[in-house]
Order: sequence, then structure tokens, then C-alpha cells
Amino acid sequence: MNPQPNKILIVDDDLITRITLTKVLERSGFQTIQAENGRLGLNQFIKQSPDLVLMDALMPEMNGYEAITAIRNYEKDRAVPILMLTSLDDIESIDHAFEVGATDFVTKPINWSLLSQRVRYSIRTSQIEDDLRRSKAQLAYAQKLAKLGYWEWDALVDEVSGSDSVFQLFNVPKQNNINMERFLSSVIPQDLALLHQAVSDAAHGQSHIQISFRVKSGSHTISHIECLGEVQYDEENRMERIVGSAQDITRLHKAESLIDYQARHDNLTELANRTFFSEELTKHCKQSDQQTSAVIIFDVDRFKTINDNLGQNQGDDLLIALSNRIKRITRDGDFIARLGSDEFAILIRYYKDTNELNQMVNRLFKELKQPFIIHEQELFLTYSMGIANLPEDATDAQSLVQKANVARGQAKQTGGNQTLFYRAEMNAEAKQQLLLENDLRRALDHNQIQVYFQPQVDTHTLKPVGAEALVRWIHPEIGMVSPVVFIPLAESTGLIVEIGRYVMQESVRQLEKWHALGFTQMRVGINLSARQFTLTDLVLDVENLLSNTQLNPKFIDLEITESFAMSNADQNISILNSLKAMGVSISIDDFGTGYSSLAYLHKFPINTIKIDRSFILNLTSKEGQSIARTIIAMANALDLEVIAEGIEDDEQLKFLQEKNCDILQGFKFGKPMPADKFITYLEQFK
Amino acid sequence: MSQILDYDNLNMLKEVIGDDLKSILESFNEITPTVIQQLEHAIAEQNAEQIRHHAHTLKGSAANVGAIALPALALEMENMGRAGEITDATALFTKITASYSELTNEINRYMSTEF
Repeated sequence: MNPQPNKILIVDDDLITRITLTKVLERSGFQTIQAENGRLGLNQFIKQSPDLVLMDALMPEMNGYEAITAIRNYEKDRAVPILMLTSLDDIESIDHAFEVGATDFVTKPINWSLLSQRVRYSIRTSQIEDDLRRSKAQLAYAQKLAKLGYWEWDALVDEVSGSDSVFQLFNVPKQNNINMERFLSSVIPQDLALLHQAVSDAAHGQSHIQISFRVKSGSHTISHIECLGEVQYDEENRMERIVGSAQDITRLHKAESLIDYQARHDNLTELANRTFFSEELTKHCKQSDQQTSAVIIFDVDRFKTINDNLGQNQGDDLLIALSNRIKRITRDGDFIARLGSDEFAILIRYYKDTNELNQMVNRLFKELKQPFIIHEQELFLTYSMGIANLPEDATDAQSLVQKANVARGQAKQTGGNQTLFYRAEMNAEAKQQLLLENDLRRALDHNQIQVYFQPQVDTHTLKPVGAEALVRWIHPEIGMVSPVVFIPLAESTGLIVEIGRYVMQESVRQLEKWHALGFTQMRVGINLSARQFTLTDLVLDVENLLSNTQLNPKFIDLEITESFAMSNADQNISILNSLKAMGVSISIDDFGTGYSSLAYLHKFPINTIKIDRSFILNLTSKEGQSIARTIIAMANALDLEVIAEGIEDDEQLKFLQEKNCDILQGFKFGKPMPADKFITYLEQFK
Repeated sequence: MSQILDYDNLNMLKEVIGDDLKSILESFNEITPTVIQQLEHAIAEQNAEQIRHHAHTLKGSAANVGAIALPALALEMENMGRAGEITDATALFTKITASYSELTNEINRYMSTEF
């Protein structure tokens, strides 16, 4: 059965006792080691690792008690049984023996026939204890791996006890027999009611408990704990105790709520999305007892252009890289979200003072501006960043976001690449903006959007050959609102699509009238905004327009600005080609301001370039004249028609006539005027 | 009427270890005179600690082989030594040597009949 005989260490100063014990134990199949005092006994214990020790009490050179103490100190986690040899009459020495760690005692005179049994029994018990300790250690380890713990609540005295792990799970210091309230002190307050309900149900006969709740497990982390419990009752059905397990199901919870997770996260960057940010901010606003916090909202300046240039995949890579950088440079407790395409938000949960916040923001801004390497291309981004403070600027989530956004908008409007803290005046400005935006929504329905026409004349005959359609907003209270103000507003709200369609339709309607009046070579120039290109299917809109008119499409001249045409040249060329194929004319507006690449220019399917008015204003200088001459010469070389804008006086007219500019536009020939006035204007040329 | 040897215990030991009991008893006979001499010497020197020590050893080894009277006397001597009251030690020692000589006889008889 036992291939390796158990080793017994006999420590006794009496030779006869040692010999006798040796003989008796060897007869029973044990292997023995002898030592004649405590010191030698300890020595042999260390050298031989016996399975059991028989220890005499009184010996010279370290007595039995001292030897046991030394052995117990030496072995630490093992517990080899030590039987103390002692006289039956010596109660004191028995007590003393147990105190220092003896397992049991054998009285002298020794009962020889029982000795081997006692020794065997002791060894077996200790092996079972060893196994138990090992499996307990394994169990504890397994429980730790499974994030599992067990607990027991004595309902009568209100005492909780449990495994080490359960105290970790509940995030309370390990301490036995603490009361329920203390045990649950890290459970988040909203979930405490659930637990109290469960205990109350248990008291009323609900003998099984299954409940999950949240525990604050770090300064900003929360774990999900599930508890299972069995309730025990006495004969009178009074609740005596609840015994149960607890498990950290945070990960499980995450898996279970994957859909929930996806609903609350942006799947490109894995950051929280707008919904989640609002939730978290709302929670934070409720919890933060007037502690200073900040909401930072920022976006990338001119992201649309950057993204268009990069293409879809690399644009995504840039956003991922940007998200990773934000994660890296923010503090652990801060909450980051991606609110929209290139719009991000950071909740700074706590800052000490303005100085600290400033430092944080400056560092953030600086780090964000470090270049990104996307597919071996170095990209430098700038940002418009707005900040609102809690509780100073607002105490609720919605207002905080709104105010940070106002500040961001202001940062953007005043040139971008900056950080602005929210100021109350901004709100007034934003409110104004908002009011205007609301008004603008109604403007189309109330016929406040009107199309004005400015004459274009032939350079030599000075007779009208066309007009540029210019949109105007006649606000009932403010009067005429400048396109410089409302076009960006229309673009940012998407209203530009409807306004643009209206302008096209109205222009064509007027053009039909002019032709009907006999001005059959008149044309109309219609401006297209950049947003119109991206927000709507422009080709379809123009197709609809043309199918509703008898006019030759060539009299319709679509104008795009040079800077926009060049910003996304390849894509724009293909759209313009489609439009050109339908027969409409295409002009490049504001020519000379957008650093056109000549290489691209001849690829554009354009008929006309319009020299920017700034060059006409500069015709008084040699330099201005030379630029205008160059543009006209270049246009001639490319076989393009040239229109000059902003002509106000005779000198300009003379210069342009000499240089063979084709068409002229400016106050000299007529200001922009409403449709009916334009007809009156036309009629004088009949 | 004090019993000198506990034959039950001795027989029990014999049952467990058989003929090895003989060698244990021989060892006892061999060693014990020395222990007794050391005890006598300690008494002559009035060394209470040494008296306690040797009396303790005598008590243990005698009890081991099933002696009854001798361990009782040795315990008395051990207690004297521990207490440091050794004025009566010489008188007690006389009783111990007498008891030991009776024990030796008994053991020898036992050995001659059993082995």
C-alpha cells in the first residue's frame, strides 16, 4: 500500500525510551530517526523531513516545547504532526504542549499496543488536512479565477462572514462578522433598494435569492455582481441565515449587453457615442456635489476636405488614430466620446482649479496637434475646441453640451485652431444665431428668400447678354440679411439644399420670361455652394430642372468657386462632366483667388472663368493690370470665355475692352435687382 | 504491597515487539546503574538541577520497561530537585537503590522465564 514507509522522528534524552519506541515503531513498518535532545531533534527535522515527531518534554539543550516552537516556525505552511510524550499527571505540560503547537500527546507510561495506531492515525489526519488545505488553496485560486466568493449572513445577530474573495467583490476590507450595512457599503446607492427588497422577500419565505447589482470597485469603475443565496429558517419559519455565493459578472454583463454596448458606442473608434455621453454626463451632473468639472467638445478644422482628399478608408484610419491619441492623452477617470463624424467630447470629471484645467487643456491641444502618420503621409490637424464648466456655466448635461458647443462654434467661426471657454455673451450670440436659424427655416415658406439679378453685358456693345442670380433674404424685421451671414447658416443646417433648388428654379423661370420678351441669347449664372455638391444629388436636381423647361441648357451657367473646385478636384471633375453632358455651361467663380493648378484647370469641363473683383479693384496699379492681363491671356489660350466682375468706372471698362475681356459685370452696368426690376431694365434695350 | 513490575504492560510490549523486548531489558540493565551513579553523585554535590535531571531520566526509563515502584520514587526525587529542597535526598536515594535492586531481580526473573 505504502511504498515509502513513513518517517518518525523520536526526540527523547532517555536511551531506553528511544530504543523501545524505535523497536515498537519499526515493528509496525515505520522508519525511525532518533535525537537525544531538542536541538538535535530540530536538526534532524530539517534534514530528514519526518512525517511525524514524537517529542519528550524535558530534555537538556532545548526542551520539547522550545523544539516544537522552533519546528513550527521552520515549517511555516506545512503542519507535521508532533506528539508530545508526557506524564499523565502533568496537566500543565499538556497545556503548554498544545500552546506551542503540539498536535496531540502520548502519556507515559506508553501504551505500546496503541502507540502505532495513534501514530498512524495522526499521520493520516495530517495528510487529509494537508490535502484539504491544498484543495482549499486550489478552491480559493479557482474562486479567484472565476471571481467567485461565498458569504454567509447570520440574520439573528446581523453578522456577515465569507471568503477573502467575497470581500474583494464587495470592495470592503476583509473583516469577519461585520454587519450587513457595512458589508454593502460599496454597493452603488441606486441598487441598494434591490438588495433590501431581496432580504425582505427572504424574511417572508422566498427561500432562493438571485440578484445582480453594481458595486463601486474603484474611483470610477463599477463591477456587476451576481449573488445566489439559500435562506435557512428555524422551526417557526423565522429566517436564521442566508448562505450564498457572489460572482463578478462584469464581463458576462458586457457580453450580455453587447447590443446595448453597440447602441452606446461608436463602432469605428470604440469610443462612447453621443447617447452614452449624454447618459454619463447626466449621471455625473447628478452625482457631482458641486465639484468642478468640465465638458470639452472639439472637432477637426476642415475635416470634410481632409477626409475627401484621403478617401473613405484612410479617413477612417485617421479617426481611429485620433481616437487612440485622445485615449492616450486623457486621464483615466475622464470620459471620452465621439459625438459625430469628427466631433469628440471629453468629460473632465474633476479639476482642482482653473490653473489645472488650463494646463490640461493646453496639453491636450498641443498633443492633438502633433502630426498623424496615415499610410506614410504626414497630416497636421487643427481643431476648434469649446469648453463649458460645471457648475459655473451649467449644472445639467444638456446645457453643458450646448454651451461647450457654442464655444466650439465660436472657435470655428473665428478661424478655428483655437480653444475657447464658454462665455455668457457667446450664448447671446448663439441665441441670435439660433433665432436666425429658426427664421431661415420659415423664410422659404414665407417667400422671404428672393432671387436678385445683376446684369452682365457684352464688353463691346455694352448690351445685356446675361445675369448672375444672387440670393437675398428679406427678413421681415431685420430687413436684408447678407448672404455672407445666412449662407453659412444655411449650409450648416442643410437648408442650403432647398434654397439652392429654389434659386435654380426661380432663375430658370425668369430666364424663360427674358427669352419670351425676345432676349433669346440671354443666359443666367447660378452659384452652387460646396455643400450643395455634397448634400444633394446635384446631377438629378439639374436634370429635373432641365426637363421642366424648353430652354436650351447652354443658357444656364452653373458657377462654382475656384477654391471649392480644386479642393476635391477629381470628384468634382466627374460631377461637372455629368452636368456638362446635359448641356449646361460651367463657370469658375472668383478666379485667381484659389491657387488653381493649371494642370487641373484644363481638365475641368469649363466654359467660362470669372475674374475676381479684387483684381478689377487693383487695376489702378501696374501689378494689378499685369495679373488681369495674364488671366485673360491664359483664358484665351485655353479657349475660355472671360467675365470680369466689379466694374465700377470707365477706366476699368477701357482696360478690359482693350484686353478683349468678353463679358462685364458691375455697378457700372447695374446693381443686383429683383426680378421685376430686372425686366424693366431689360426692356430699355428692346 | 507496592507492585514492582507491571507485567501487563511488559507482556503488551512483548506482544508488539517480540524478542526485541529482551534486548531492551538488557539495555536497561546495562544503562541504569550509570544513571543511578550519576544521581548519587549529584546528591553528594548537592546539585538540585542535576538531581532533578537524573531522577527524571530514571523515572522515564524505568516506567518504560513497566516498573511501578521505582518511577514513583524517582518522581519524588525529581520534584525535590525541581523544588530545590534536597535535604531528604539521601534518605530517598536509599529507597531508590533498594527498589532498583528488587526491580533488577524481577526483570532478570522475567527474562529467564520468557526468553
